[in-house]
Amino acid sequence: MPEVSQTAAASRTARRSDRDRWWRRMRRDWWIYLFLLPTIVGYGLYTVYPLVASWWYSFLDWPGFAQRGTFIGLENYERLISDELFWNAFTNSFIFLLIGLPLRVGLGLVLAYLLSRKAVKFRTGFRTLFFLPVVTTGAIIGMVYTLVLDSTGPVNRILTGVGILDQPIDFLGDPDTSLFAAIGVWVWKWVGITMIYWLAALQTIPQELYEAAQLDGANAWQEFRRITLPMLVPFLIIITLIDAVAAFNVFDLIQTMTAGGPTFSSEVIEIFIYRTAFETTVPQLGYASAAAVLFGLAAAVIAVVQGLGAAAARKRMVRS
Amino acid sequence: MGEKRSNAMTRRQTLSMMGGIAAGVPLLASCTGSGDPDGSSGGSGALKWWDHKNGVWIEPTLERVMSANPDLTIEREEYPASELVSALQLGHRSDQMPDVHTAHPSLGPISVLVEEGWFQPLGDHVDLAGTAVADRLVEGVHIFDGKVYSFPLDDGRTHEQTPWVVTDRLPMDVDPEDARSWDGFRTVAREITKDNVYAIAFAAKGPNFLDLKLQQLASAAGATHVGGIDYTTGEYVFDSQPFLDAMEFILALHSDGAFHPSLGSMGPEDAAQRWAAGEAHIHWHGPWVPGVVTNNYPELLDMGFDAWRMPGPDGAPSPVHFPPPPGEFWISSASQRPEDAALAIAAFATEETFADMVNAMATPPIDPSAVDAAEDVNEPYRRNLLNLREECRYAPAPEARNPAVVQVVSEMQGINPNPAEILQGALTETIDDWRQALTEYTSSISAERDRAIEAVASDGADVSLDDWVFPQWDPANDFTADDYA
Repeated sequence: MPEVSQTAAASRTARRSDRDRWWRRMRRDWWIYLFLLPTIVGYGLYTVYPLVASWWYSFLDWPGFAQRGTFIGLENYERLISDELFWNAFTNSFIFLLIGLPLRVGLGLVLAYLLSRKAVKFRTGFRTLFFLPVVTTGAIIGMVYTLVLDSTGPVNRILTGVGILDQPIDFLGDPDTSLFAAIGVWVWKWVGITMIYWLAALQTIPQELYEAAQLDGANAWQEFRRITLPMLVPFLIIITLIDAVAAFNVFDLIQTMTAGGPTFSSEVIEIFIYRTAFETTVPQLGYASAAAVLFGLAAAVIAVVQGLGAAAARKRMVRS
Repeated sequence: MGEKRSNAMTRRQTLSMMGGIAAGVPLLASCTGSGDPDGSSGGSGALKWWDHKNGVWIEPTLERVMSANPDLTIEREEYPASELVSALQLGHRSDQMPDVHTAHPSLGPISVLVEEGWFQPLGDHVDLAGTAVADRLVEGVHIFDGKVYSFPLDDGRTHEQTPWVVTDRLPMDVDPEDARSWDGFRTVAREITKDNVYAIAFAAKGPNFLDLKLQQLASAAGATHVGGIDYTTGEYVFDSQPFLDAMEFILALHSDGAFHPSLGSMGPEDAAQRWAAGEAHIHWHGPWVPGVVTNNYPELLDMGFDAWRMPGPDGAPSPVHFPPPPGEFWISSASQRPEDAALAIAAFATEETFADMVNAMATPPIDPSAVDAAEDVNEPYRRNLLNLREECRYAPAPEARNPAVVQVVSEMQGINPNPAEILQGALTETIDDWRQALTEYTSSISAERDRAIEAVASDGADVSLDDWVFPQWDPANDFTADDYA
């Protein structure tokens, strides 16, 4: 018993000591927290609150025009599970990710590598050209590409002109090609920013390594394979994560190019959510929120897997 | 060196920070949308007015109201329809509603909005007796519990099946009478499709346009329905012969090669642009096209811009049916100045506004005399409005007889693919057996309505399938407010 009392007393003392330290730190550094307050409030209001609110809304039958919804438990989720159009949008979003992400990350790396080499002339001009679509509004690009990719547009004229196609294809109006055409436009629009990430990453590689390799007689491919790529692995993880998040934010582009059609062939999850929330006879905010939550969970799983992959990659690098 | 780091703030630093916070508070307040410090409508500032309509005919009326009432300032914001819906939903939840707004159908059924307390009565502040709208008010649509909440401005009998053409660009002389029957229309369409200029810029990108196209052509083929429900029986008729005929007609035009091949990526606005640019000869759309042409493509007015008649299977189409037109402007329940709001809204029930609507070549006004009296309007526009009077009729509105019908509609969940999506699927060859798809949809939506009726009835509402049946309805004539009695 005395031992127990001593332990409890020690524990109380330790807690008091912690509390004292915390108060001391607060008295000393209070202004730091004051300056952090706007960020914390802003993050709470505009990120945490909507996130938590959408979880709550997902349990409501909320037709939008009502001030508040009715709690219906998991009914929205049960309905979603059996909603073929939800799974269609879910699948389309992942197809978008699986095809668009490697293309964007890979092309960005190739462009950055080429445009970082001194042998390439007009590098700055090319970098600007590739970056220009990034600063152009997605909706504008969507509208322009609607004309570029339609059956009477320049792409079809070229493809039929050189004999690759027998008949023009309305790339965005054909259910077989609409999603892939949208992916292509997305990669084209955003590859410039990925290229900038890679350029920044390439500048972190010490020049001496290349010089040493050249002394050893390494050619350009060997330099890339043996020096550049291994040194870029940590950046690859970060860039992939950033671009993966971007691949789930394609609303403006898809809405202006295809609006998810034809017949849902290019409907990604954001369009599904928008359609169920705002474009039905009776707005279904609870149902749309449930779709957002379910998809958010799937995206979180991807982020976790990616994080684990990053940790494993770092460990391997440290060992080697 | 050796200087002790101090975390204390000087008096100047503290004052600067407090000043910054004070400056930031109004900035944060402005992030709430309206910048209205108390977050509510009303007070002595400007009357806030949100709508999704054409400002060309709205603003002159508001100007007249303000010049007649110097103390009244109205701030109007024009929104795209979809943005208005989300702005109102957010405004309703955060108590930042305008004083007056339009109620786009996507906001929800009007009677439910009234029940949810979105509006306050207009009739408490103004008397509409003697105006052109007085005898067009329908209980359950504009009047609730005996109180007038709003009134219609559009006539509402407005189909979107007028073939608008630029005669001088046609590759041959066409007698519009030859294009009145569906077969004749197909023949003309085939013949004018030449040299990479197609007969029709057909907007198949979104389902809304296709929905109207299919439903109104089905009406032309004899379906006595609104929204796919035949009010003589109360049944869904999406798989009836007129709907099948309408589907076949559209698909035949497509297989004839009459549609611009980019139909799958064209919305109505894209189609208008392609037509105006000379890529197609026919823009198959509503009565507002002359207004669009006058504003955006005036050069077409000197090239034989004209309107043909809506085609029907054997010539003159059967009437296209429309519900009573909804109220246009509504006083928000949050408004602290309902008298001013009512005064401004009532100013629209005047000859001047109806003349403005006609002169703007917008949708036809509810007062037909304005069309006859207008002098400076485009002739094809006026002729088309007269044609609409022959081709369109009012149908009954089940919710006007029993408001519980709206609860059923609200309870119903969407079935996909719906007929518009089936048509889109047939056009893009993703749905082979569209007849079967229409049959399945009809069966599914009927079952869904049955379920919704049961659910609403079990909550105590008195509603049944009979509420969709109007045996006294004569589809050849307008169903007026008096017919509900």
